Amino acid sequence: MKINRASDLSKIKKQGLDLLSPAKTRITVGSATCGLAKGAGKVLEALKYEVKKQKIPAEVVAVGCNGLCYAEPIVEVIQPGKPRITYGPVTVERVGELLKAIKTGKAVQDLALARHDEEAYCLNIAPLKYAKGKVPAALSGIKEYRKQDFFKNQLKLVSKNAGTISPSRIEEYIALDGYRALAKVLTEMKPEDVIKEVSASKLRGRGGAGFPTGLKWQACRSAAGDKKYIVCNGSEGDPEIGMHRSFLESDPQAIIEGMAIAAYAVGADAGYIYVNDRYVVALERLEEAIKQAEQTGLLGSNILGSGFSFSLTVKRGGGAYVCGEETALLNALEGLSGEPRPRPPYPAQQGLFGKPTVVDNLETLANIPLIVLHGGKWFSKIGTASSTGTKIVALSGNVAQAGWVEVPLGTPVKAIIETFGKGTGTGKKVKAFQTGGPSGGVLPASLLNIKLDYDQLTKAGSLLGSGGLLVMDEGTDMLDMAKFLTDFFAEETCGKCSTCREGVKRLQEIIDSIMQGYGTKEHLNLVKRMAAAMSDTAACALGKTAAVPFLSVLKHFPKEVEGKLLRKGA
Amino acid sequence: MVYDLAIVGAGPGGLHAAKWANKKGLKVAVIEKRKDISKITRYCSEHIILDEDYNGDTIKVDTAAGKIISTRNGWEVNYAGEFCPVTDKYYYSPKQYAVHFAWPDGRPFAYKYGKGTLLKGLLEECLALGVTYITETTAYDVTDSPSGIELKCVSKAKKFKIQAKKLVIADGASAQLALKLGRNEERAYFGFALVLAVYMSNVETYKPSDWKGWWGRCYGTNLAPLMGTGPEGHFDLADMIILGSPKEPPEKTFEFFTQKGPMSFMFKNAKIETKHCCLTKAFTPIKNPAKGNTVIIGDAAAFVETQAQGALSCGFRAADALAKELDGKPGFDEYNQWWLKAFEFNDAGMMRVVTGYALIPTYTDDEIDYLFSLCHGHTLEGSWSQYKSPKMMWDLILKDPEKIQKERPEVWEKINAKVTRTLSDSINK
Amino acid sequence: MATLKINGKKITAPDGATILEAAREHDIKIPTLCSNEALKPYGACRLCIVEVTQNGRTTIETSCTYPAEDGLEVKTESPRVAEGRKLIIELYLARCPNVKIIRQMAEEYGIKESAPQMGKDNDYCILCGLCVRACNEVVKAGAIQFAGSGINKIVDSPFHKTAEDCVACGSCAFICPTGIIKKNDLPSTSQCTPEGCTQTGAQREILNWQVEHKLKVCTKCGNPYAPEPHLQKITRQYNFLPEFFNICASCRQYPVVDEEKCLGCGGCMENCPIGALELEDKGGYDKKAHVFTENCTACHTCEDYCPMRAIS
Repeated sequence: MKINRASDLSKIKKQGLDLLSPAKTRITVGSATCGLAKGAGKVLEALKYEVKKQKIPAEVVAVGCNGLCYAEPIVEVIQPGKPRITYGPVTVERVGELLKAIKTGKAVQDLALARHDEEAYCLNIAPLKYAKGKVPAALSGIKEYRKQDFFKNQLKLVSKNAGTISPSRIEEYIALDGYRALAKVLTEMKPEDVIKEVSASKLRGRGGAGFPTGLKWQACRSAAGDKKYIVCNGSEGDPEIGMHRSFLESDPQAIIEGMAIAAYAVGADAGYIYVNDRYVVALERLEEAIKQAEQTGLLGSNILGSGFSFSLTVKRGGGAYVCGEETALLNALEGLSGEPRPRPPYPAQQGLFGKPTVVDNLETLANIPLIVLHGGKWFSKIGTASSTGTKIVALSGNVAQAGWVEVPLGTPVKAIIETFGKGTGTGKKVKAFQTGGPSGGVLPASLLNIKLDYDQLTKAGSLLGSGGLLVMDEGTDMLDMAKFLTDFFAEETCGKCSTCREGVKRLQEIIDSIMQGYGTKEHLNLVKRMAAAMSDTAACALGKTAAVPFLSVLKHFPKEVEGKLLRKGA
Repeated sequence: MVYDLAIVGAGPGGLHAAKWANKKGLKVAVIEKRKDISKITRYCSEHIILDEDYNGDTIKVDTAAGKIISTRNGWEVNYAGEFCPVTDKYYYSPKQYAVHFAWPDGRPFAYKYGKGTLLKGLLEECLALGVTYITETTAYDVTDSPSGIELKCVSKAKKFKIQAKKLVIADGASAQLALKLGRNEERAYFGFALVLAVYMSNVETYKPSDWKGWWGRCYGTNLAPLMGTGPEGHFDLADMIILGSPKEPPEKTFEFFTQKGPMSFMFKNAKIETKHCCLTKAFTPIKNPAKGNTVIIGDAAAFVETQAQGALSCGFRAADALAKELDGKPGFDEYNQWWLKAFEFNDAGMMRVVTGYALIPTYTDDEIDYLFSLCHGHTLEGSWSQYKSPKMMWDLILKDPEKIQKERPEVWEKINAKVTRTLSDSINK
Repeated sequence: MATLKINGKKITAPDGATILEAAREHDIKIPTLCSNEALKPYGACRLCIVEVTQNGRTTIETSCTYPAEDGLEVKTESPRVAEGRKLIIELYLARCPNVKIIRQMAEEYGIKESAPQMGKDNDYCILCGLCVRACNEVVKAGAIQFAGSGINKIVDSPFHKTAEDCVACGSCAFICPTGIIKKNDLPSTSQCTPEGCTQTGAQREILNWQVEHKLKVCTKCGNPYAPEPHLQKITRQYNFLPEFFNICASCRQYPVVDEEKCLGCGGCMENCPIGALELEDKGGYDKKAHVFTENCTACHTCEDYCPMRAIS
């Protein structure tokens, strides 16, 4: 239904709440790409088929990813008045069993992962109560989620809806406080007030540079010109993460709402979301979500009768890593080659098509509705003094339980690996880890206590970046890893500036020489010289950090490198 | 937007056509290259010629009411300026023998007037009628196709096009658009003359009512220097007119005539007030100037010139022709027939006559003296006409052919060679 | 105007100037490879780097792109800059050891050769992008572009075939600093066989883009002077008459009006075949002829027709 008043949101909210805890059984299947890859699509089909055939009073809904990637396919069952049960991994063969359990009011114990008696992730509103009255005996054996490491140590603010709501139903988003922030902004706040809250939150860009979002918005707002743009950087070129993909497949409306609020704050009326073309499902769900938002009257002209208009366009990118750099992204949006632009001028003054533009990371924008609803001051108290808020961290590599989690910034890396990843899972100890993608280099296990914090990580020679956490056990050859990461840069360099293009090429050669046993101390000295010069002279962060992987291996695992060098006289 | 009628040139022809076409209900646009047509900077001698039947018309001037009236073609125009009557015309030989033209009663045979004032008035009338007037725009190319006409125009280096159903080309003697339409291919081209006109004060023997010309190589040129009435508002100034060519620049001839030549005494105390110039091309006339969707009027279709009164007639008649054409009637045929009959230069016989009368370079200075001496002391009828005046002069010269044969047999030879046909014509008439 | 310091020297720079422009105005030397005053700054070669301190922050920036703002302190030869520049030159030497300008630059900065641990190639294109930018920004033909990406970047014609949009203007060859772009102007030749001879007119080939085009011959002096497609492009772009380029630049003389002699009679205007002459109202009675040379084809008609011989 289309609404043109903020007060009408409550009507849709009621619809959504009915869908989330309905009068009949609700069975959800985690259907983000990670789940689909594990067969969730087939499980969804099987469930739908059986429910219809057996005439079970239940609705089967595809939802997003809740982060329990290691246990996919995830199926959750919410029976009226009973707690929500999370099952995984549910393969097609076990669908029959599951439905039998539902019919008989029992559970499939070996697949049951967690029990939600109530949904408490929405702040300041009453939690969704699933269980009415005492928990039935058949289900009480399943551990309540707040008692489990995986859940209790997370602070799910940004990802509160992921895995719970259907990304194709805007009502469900609205039911869990969705678009209340936009309504508040349009009816109660001036653009300057919004920027004030964002500045007070001390939110920093979640893409890599960690630039204060409030400052960026203020610069754009102050820039001269009537036409301004908001661009969401969903390019996610890092090789080991899929958080943007996952997020868009689970809760796309949050991004839309965040962008609309950002547009209102800086004075833009148009926005672009730049997403990797290979994220097929994410793009489908995003386009669908935009359409629904338009149909509901939450996107388009004169939103909620406020006079504010905002239109959103999805642009597909080729997946180049360098296009994560905001000026290369702008070039790509304009149809040019994805190469960075000289700065200054900065996008806030001259961005897309030469107009003042805010380019924000997808996760940054996802934080905005919360900041508006609960205040910048509230946000600034989460995390550390300089790195406020939470961060979605994707665990990969040598971890027993891969997936993603949301933790307050300042959480030690060790805690993340142990609590959520449950160690390496290979029997070997952690040898090294990497945060922030290839530009972050590697850090040794001795630094595992380092906190997930912009400044701390930068000081250690790494960076927070996009929040990927790659864990390497003692079986890892660090030189191999350095080569892998340097090769990545060689693949991804745009080739515009001499430093990066030629530098990365030579770095590859040097690493190859060392690995083949022809390396000498001079090679190492050259790399150090190159790293310093590249860091100073390259045109963008890719070039500036291209030597970091090898340099960090050299720094933290010197023996592995020096051991391969040509011995004098040999 | 497509006009009913586009007119190139806001001269007497173009403006008169615009006025009457508009009155007949056509949507008219006039395209003019100048900014202010009321100031004449292309030299024009600016005379209304009163000869009867001159180019098929007898023009009357009502000085009191300020009107110029065509008695044959049926129009009259308002003229808010001054007139100066021209009553005496003198052709001088090297030794000052004079051929004198004047009416016995002293009435004028021409009026000096201000063409700028005339055009200003005509333009104001056109604008009041709602004619679209596009200035500072040169139409430099044209296409005429069954669907209409298109003009390529340029204004201050910016190019654009104008489309109309019909077109009047009134762009003057250089006949540029006629050239672009390929109409000049039907014509013979005799070349062009450069004209320098100098308005001077304190010229001795100058009288506003006189028109004088000096024939003979001693005056510095093969083309007779002329002196006529000064411009409107300054009839007291002498208008010194020198013709020349790129090889014989008129400036040089002017210098000689006023400073070194036999008449230089006239200019001892004279002062140059302003200079003007123009160039004029001589083509044989276009026989059927109304063709396709276009009517070429005035000097643009003529042998040298139609003069203002001729152009006014052309414009007047062209408007009528065009209105008829747009109504599906054969207006163009009518126009072409009128054109052929109206202008002397369209008469081949007349043209032969005129060329036969040329004095220079046929005769030497001494011979010119002789010929003019035969006219000296007589007064011929007051006439401006370049067709009538020479005929009257030669009729007078040839009144006693035996005298010439006896006194100057070599002159007689020359006369025969050149004027034979005209002689037999006049004898046989 | 902005006031800034370069190497301790206080200088002023006009609004909108870059540090490089300001430095060059004051004869302060900064090396470049990819900058050209006819083209927008590109920032690819990185040789023009300088150390910039602004608001207490010091960074290394390319002077060709960084705006010369108030209060900047710029160092063109600081240790960081020198080290960076040295490495860049070494990288270029490793890539193009036989390119003259690279060798010259290396010599100037006292660099004998690239570090032996670096590999060596033998390329002749330094990927400065001058040819691409000239073709796209100035000539606006867009015939060549960067192709491939990253380490495999090259300058190429589309699909490595004949550059269809190339007008053979030769701007790429002209601006290329290494001489790798080969442009040859070939005179007309006859090819004779027992059956007879065929004439090939003068033409220009640009080997790199597999392009061959006829050269236009001047009707006045008879010399081939410019490639036909380039002339056609300009004719279309500026709406010139088709005959405009029948005369070459050396033979083309534009009319000059002597305003002292001009009496504004308009004879030139009346006879100009394409309306390149107009009368400019210079106040009062005087109207002087003014020539719009962009329309003029230098046909000399106006000169012939001026009664006062005021046009030459």
